[in-house]
Amino acid sequence: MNPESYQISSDNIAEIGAIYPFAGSEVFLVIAAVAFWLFCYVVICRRESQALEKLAREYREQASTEDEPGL
Amino acid sequence: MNEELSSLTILFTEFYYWVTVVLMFLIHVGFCVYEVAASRWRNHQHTLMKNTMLLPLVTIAFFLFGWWIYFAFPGGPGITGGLVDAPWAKPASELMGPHLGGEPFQSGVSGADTANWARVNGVFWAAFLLFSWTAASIVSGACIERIRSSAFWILAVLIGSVCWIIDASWGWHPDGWMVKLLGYHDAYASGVIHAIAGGFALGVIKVLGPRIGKFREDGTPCNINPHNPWLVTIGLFLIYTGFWGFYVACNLPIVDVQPGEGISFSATNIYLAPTTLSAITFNFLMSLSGGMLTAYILSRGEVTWTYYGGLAGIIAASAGNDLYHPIQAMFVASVGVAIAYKLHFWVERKFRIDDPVGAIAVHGYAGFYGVVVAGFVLWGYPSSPNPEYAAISPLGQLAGAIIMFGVLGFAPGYLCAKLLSSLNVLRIPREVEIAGLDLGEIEQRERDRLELNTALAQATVTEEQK
Repeated sequence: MNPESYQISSDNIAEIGAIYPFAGSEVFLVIAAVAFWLFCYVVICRRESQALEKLAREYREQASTEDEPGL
Repeated sequence: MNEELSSLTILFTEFYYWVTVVLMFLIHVGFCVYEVAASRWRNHQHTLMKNTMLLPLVTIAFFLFGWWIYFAFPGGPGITGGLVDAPWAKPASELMGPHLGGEPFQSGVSGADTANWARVNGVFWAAFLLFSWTAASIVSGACIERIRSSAFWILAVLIGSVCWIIDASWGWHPDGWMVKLLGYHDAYASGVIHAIAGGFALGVIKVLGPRIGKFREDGTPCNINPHNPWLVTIGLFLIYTGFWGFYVACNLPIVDVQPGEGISFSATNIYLAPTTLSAITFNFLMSLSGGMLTAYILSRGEVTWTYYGGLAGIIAASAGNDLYHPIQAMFVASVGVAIAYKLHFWVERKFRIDDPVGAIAVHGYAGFYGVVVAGFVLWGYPSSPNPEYAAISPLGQLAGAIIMFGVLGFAPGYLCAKLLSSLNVLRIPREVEIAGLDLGEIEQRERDRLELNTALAQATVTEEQK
C-alpha cells in the first residue's frame, strides 16, 4: 500500500488491508527469500566441510608426529 | 453485538496463540540446555550451534512452504481429495504479513479470507512453527557428537517443514483423511509430533551409527554419561514448562460449538470438539506424575531417566488427554513409560542403537504407544464433531501410529540419511570425532589467553619501569 493510504481516519479503518511497504511485490520478495535461504545454507555447509577437513588434517599430522620415534 | 463478539473472539484468539508461542520458546531453550549438558566437554559448541541454527533454517522453510502444506494436504492429496486451496498460507499471499483485515488487493484472496485470517495467521503460523522446531530438536538430540551440522540441518528441514506438517494435515486437520477414514484421534500430538520425530530419529541414527566407544567389541554398550546431569535436569524442567504452551496451542481457545441456532462458546481441541483448559491441566499433571514415579522406580532413582519419565508420561497420554480421566491418564502414562524405558535398553543392546538422550524412547516409543492405547481406552468415541467421520478404534489408531512412526518418520529419515551417507556428508571425520569437534575453538581460546597474559605481563613491566 502507499504510505498515504495508511492515514487512519474515522471512516476508513475497516478498509485498511496490507500495511507493509511495496505491497504487490510479494512474489519478488519470496524469490529473494528462497535465494537468501539457499545462499546461506550453501555458505555454511561449505565452511563446515572446509573446517572439518582442516581439523582432520591437523589431527592426522599431530598423530603422525607423535608416532615418530625420537620426537 | 455479533460483530463485537466476533471481534473479541478474534482478538482473544490472537493473544492466546501469541502467549503459547512465547511459552513454547522455552521448549527450545530446554532442548539446547540439555543437549549441551548431555554432550562431552569437547563437543559443547558444536552441539549448541547444531540445534540453535535449525531455528532460522526451519523457520524460513516453514514460511515458504510448510504452512501451506498443512492446509493443502488434508485429502492426501489423492486419498479423500485433491490439493485444497489455501490463499492465506501461500508465501506470496498478502495475508502472510502485517494486515488489518480490510479488502484484499490480490486476486484469489477473498474478503472472508482477510476478515478471518489477517489477525490470527501470524500467531497460528508461529504456533505450528514451534512444533516444527520441537520435531527437529528431538532428532537433534539423538545425533549428537557425530553428525555434521550441515547434514542435520537438511534433516531438520525435512522433518520440521515437510514430514511433520504432512502428518498434521492428515491426522490433525479437522478434515484430514486419517481423521475421516481411520477415526484417528491424537489431541495433543503423541503421534503427530512425538512418534514421527522418534521414528525419524531412529531412521537417521540407524544409518549414522553409534558414537565411537559406545559399544564394546562384544556388542555390549558402555555408559557415556552426561557431562553435567544437573544441567540436563534444568533443560528438562524448561521443556516441561514450555510443554504447557505446547498443550494449549493444540486447542482453539474460543469457538461457537453450538450446531444450528444459538451460541455456546467453548475451547476446543484441534478437531474442533469442545474441551476445557481444566481437562488438560488435570491430565498434564497426572500423566507427568505417573511417568515420573514409574521412571524413578524402574531406574532406581537415576536422575535423567526420572525426568525423561515425566516427559514420556505426558507424551504417552497426550493422544487422549482431552478425554481421559486424570487417573486414567496417570496409569496410561505409567505403563507407557515402563514400555519406553524397557524398549530403550533392549533396542540399544539388540540393534546397537546409540541414542544419547533417550529421544527415541521418550518421544518415539511413548508416542507410538500413546496413539495405540487411545484406540482401546477411547474405543467408540467420536474422533471429531463430524458424525460422518469414523469413530476412534484400536485398528484405526494402530494404523495411524504406524503411519506416523514408520511411514512419515522412520522411512524418510532413513532414506535421507542413506543419501547423505552415500555422498559422504553425513558423519564427521573419525579423527575429529575422537579429538572433539570443539578442539579448534578450544586451542584458539588457549592461544588468545596466552597472548593476553603476555600483553598483561609486558604492560606490568612497562609500568614498573616508569
